[in-house]
Amino acid sequence: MTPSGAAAVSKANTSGYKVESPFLNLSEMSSYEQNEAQEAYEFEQMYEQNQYQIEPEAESFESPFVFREFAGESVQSEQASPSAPGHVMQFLSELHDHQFNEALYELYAEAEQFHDEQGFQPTGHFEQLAFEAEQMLDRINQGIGSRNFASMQEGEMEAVIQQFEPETAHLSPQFENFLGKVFNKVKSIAKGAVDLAKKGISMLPIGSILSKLKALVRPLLSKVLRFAISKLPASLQGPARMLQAKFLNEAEAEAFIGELEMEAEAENESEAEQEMETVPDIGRLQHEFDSSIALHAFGAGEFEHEFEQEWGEQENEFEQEDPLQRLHDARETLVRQIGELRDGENPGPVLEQFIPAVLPLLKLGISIIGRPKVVKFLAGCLATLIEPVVKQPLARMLALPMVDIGLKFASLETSAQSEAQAGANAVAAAVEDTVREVAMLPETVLENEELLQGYIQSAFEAASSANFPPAMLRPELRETSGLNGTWMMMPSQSSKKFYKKYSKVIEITLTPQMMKAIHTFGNRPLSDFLRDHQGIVPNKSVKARLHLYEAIMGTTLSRIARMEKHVPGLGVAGKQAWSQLHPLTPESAGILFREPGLGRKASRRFRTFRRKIAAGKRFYYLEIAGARVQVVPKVMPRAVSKPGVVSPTPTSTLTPAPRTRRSNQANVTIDFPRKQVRVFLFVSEADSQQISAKIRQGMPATSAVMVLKSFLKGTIKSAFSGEWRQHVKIVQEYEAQEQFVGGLAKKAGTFLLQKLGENLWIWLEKYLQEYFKTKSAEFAAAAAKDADGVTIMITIMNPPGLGLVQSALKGNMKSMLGGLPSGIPNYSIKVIPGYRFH
Amino acid sequence: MVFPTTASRLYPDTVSIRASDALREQVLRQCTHWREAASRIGDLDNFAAAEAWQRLERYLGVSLRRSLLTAVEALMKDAERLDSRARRARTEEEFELVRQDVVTFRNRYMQTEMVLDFYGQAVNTRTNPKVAAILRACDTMARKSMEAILEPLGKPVPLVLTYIHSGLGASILKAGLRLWDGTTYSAVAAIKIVWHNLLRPTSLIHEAGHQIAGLTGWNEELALAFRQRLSLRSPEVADMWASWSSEIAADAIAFAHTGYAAVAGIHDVLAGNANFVYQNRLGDPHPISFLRVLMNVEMCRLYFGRGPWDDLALAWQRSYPIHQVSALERPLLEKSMKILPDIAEICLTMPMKAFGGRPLQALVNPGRVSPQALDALVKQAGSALFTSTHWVGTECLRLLALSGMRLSHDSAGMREVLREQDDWMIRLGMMAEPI
Repeated sequence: MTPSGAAAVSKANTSGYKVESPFLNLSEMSSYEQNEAQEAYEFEQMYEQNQYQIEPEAESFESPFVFREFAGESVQSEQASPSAPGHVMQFLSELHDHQFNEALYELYAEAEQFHDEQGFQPTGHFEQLAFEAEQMLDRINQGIGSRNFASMQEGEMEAVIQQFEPETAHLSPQFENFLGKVFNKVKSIAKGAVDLAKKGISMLPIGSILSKLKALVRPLLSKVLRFAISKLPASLQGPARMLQAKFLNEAEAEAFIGELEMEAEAENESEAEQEMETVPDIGRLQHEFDSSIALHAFGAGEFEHEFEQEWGEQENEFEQEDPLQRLHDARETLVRQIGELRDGENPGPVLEQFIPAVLPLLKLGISIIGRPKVVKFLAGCLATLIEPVVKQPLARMLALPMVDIGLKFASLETSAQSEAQAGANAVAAAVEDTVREVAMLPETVLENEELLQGYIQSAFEAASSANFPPAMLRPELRETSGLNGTWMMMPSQSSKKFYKKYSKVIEITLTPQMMKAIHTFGNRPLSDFLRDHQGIVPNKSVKARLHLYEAIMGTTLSRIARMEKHVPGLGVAGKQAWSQLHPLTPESAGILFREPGLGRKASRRFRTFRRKIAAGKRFYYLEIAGARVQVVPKVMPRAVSKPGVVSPTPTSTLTPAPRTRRSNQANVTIDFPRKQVRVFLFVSEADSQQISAKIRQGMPATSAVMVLKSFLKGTIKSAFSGEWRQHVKIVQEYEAQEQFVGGLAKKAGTFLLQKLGENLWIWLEKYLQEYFKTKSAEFAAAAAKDADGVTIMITIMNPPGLGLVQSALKGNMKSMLGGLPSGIPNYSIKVIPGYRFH
Repeated sequence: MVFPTTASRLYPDTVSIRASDALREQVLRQCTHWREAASRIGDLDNFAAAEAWQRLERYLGVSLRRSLLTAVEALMKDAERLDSRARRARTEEEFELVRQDVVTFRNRYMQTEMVLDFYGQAVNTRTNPKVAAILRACDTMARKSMEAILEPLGKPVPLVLTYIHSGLGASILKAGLRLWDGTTYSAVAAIKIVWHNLLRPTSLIHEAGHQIAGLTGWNEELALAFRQRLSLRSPEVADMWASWSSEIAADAIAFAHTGYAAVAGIHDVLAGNANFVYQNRLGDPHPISFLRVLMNVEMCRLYFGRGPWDDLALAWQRSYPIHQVSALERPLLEKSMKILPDIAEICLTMPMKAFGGRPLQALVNPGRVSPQALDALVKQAGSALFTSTHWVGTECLRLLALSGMRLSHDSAGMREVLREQDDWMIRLGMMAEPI
């Protein structure tokens, strides 16, 4: 924060700024627990004394876990069926799969590439995929026939479905991934059907549900295409409305909508910086998809038609809009107009035209769009601020970064015209960044011109630091102390800009200690990523060249990776490229090259998945000579040859399929209805082989557990502390009559979940010790199979305290007192070659 | 210039104008011809199938294509400059100068075309997907063999393009050499392997050894070491071995990485007729084959003690008895045989400036490819040794050593070993991200 802006900010700034470290901070966890426990106790005191009425609360606390929450007072609804809503929510919980979102994103990246490079919507691009999915669903439907799922056990059902696993060797990795995730949906549907049938809850026959699923595939893929060309609404309300009408009461529906929209809102009051997604999260498509399946499964046929009709109307409404294209056009106009400004000419009118083009992409900017007075004021302030740089010859201003060797690609030569344009681009970028920050300000600031002016100044200073050469700035505003680069809008040769790149490529030596200290998306150590994805063994230093990027509205990591054609290792749209981009936080920037000012803090929400990033956040790519993306080969086993006959390897099995190797990860499903906790420990190929080698050498079980312990303990703890939501899935059902309370009860429940997580680690260590003592050969056999890594599935039956946790989540604060009971629950372990999440 | 003719004597002005026009026309036509030709060779798919290009590992493919396109771009610029000069020329003198430059440009074009044709043919050997996978595996193994030595020395590791051709022995066009067009430097090390050794490519590591020795200056230092250490025994022998230092260096590097497999591989390539085995050509950097095989055996004895290499040496000397060598050459061979253990020691254990003051064994320990060490690897990895991406990716050079050793002394099981080698090499090739 600059001195000039600090005073204005300090008056109105109500949100503290929390520094986020990539390291686990145990002392912070303890104080957090203490605070939460105290609050919960006080609440219970007040509640029992009837001095506190539970008021319906809007959902303000974003749970770190993937589950459906409810807020507000329960309402006796004549519409909701007494038992159906809870089971609908359970069904939806089972269906949800964050890996499905990853698969959608990969398809989205493909479609985005087509649109960017060919300039049209590739309507037929997913035709093959749709056909394959439909064929698969037909085969399953025919195969399952009229089986009675009610009488099946879970394992039996899974075995029935498994035999219809599709053949995918001929498909691209993206198509293969999507088809596999649709297959997982089928398994979830069947699992849900078995479970509910046992409880006497009726759903439509599974064949009918699968037919519905089949009918939804093409529309889903069509929506992915539309997403790629920014032709889908940012907010999806249709599914929740339908579910509300049929199954949910008002509070539940609000909460469900809140679940859908929660990614658009600030995560927590304690997170100071508001953040804006660069593109809408494609995960919403899964919400809609699952909701449609649920609607059909529970017999809401009449609502489906209404839903589809309404959805079709929404689609038509957005058919003609493309806010991102409008922004591109507005930027181009602004750059040209700035370049054409004469000395002394007021840039205000030019800015007044530009600002409204930025705002539609900023959901929070809605507060400004309809307020021309604010727009005019903002334009006026900005005009004053940019006037000095508009006066100067722009070419001279930006000559230094433009001649930097990092941007002198073979085909790019600077000219006087392009240097001048670079100057205008820098001004336009600074304006856009400022507008984006201002748009996120609260009403109280927007209504107060004095306050607003301070914020605009502060935001523009921050934007200038990022967009102008350091030599032009006051020393205290410079982002770096040694590097003399600046951020350039890219691609340089196109009028459509999609991201920024730092004009210096930074050469570093990456030590093993640095690799371990830095964390990437999903809180994974960089060392694990480099080993598993790029074959860099983290036992020696490597030289690397760092390329730095910044996101703007419309940026996706797949676009950056694809458009950086001159950077070795990038230049393609596939996951193997964009998965190599890592978040550049102040901590990682400080460790990598001692310039923390170049990093940008990002909340957990935007450090979890690569598909979800925020505007203004920064990323880096490590160009390491000798590093190669570790691809999992798709090689079919050779047929047994007869003596004297050499069978040639079928050439169809030799198509390179760049699916990258996975790193270690732990994923947990807390299944309240089944009273189970299921832990899926994926052990990377490298570690699987290391463990197997120890087993073959006859080393004690402890040595195998130690290999797992190094990643497992940290992952379990951080997952249950609420940091990394994708690792924990909660399946639960609620009954409509129960009361629900808001954030405080959820915090209490979360506290108990953390306690459960700590116990979980203790149990897992014991289970794994026993397992490797008695069944290590089973693990070695699984590791010897032709698959990437091994998944250890541990099912813990009726763990002590699970009921208390569920009770606390439902608002029973008494369950918090006394903590969780002790005891080692029963368990079973199954080891599977390859990766399984649920 | 006016070309005197009868007509020109009768009508001097008319002929002068006609000759000038004729010259202009020819020069312009040729400029256009060569400019168009230059633009055509800019489409690299004309030199190798698109599928073949796509079967290069991505890093290699991007670098190679960029390098070739840069060469073509430079050629095109020259062509355009020439064309522009031709169009601006007015006088016969100017046209003549342009014409001479057209001839120069033509030579340059042919040389650039040669560069593209060479690499195009090399890439085109990847048209078959199975062969392409095996060649990608070779690229990976060659690169890893160079990394082990060059990275600790802080030297950049060149990219490798392996291609396949007919013939007996392998060869290398080293990275960093100036190519035929005179301006382009080879961006990659192009290593040729031969069909009969497709599944026993220890020669690949030998060729990569040439690249290493060239980049580190080991050839010269080794030659000096031979002279200094062996002169006391026989200056003539010392000089002879010094002249062979580049091939000995590459043999030593191949041995360090792949052990006995390299030795057996060398043996099979050199086991020709007696004339070939005893041949000593002046100026040929290749040692007398007879001595070369035995020198490689000495490296095995130095590190591994007794083993199947002893039988190989025995059989070798029985097949090519020294008494068949001419009386003139025999003393040289006899003296050399006495110093073979010294040669092995110098190559592998003597500290060298080229290796930062360390011996080769400090950078690549041959002990890791001893029969015992390879057995231990088999036990450690179990049945996943040839199928796990971890083992295949990290131990590909030792797998090459293991397969080569098995092939060398188990002729009955050779087919099975070859099948296994085929499978894991294809797997290794499939682990490389394609372009």
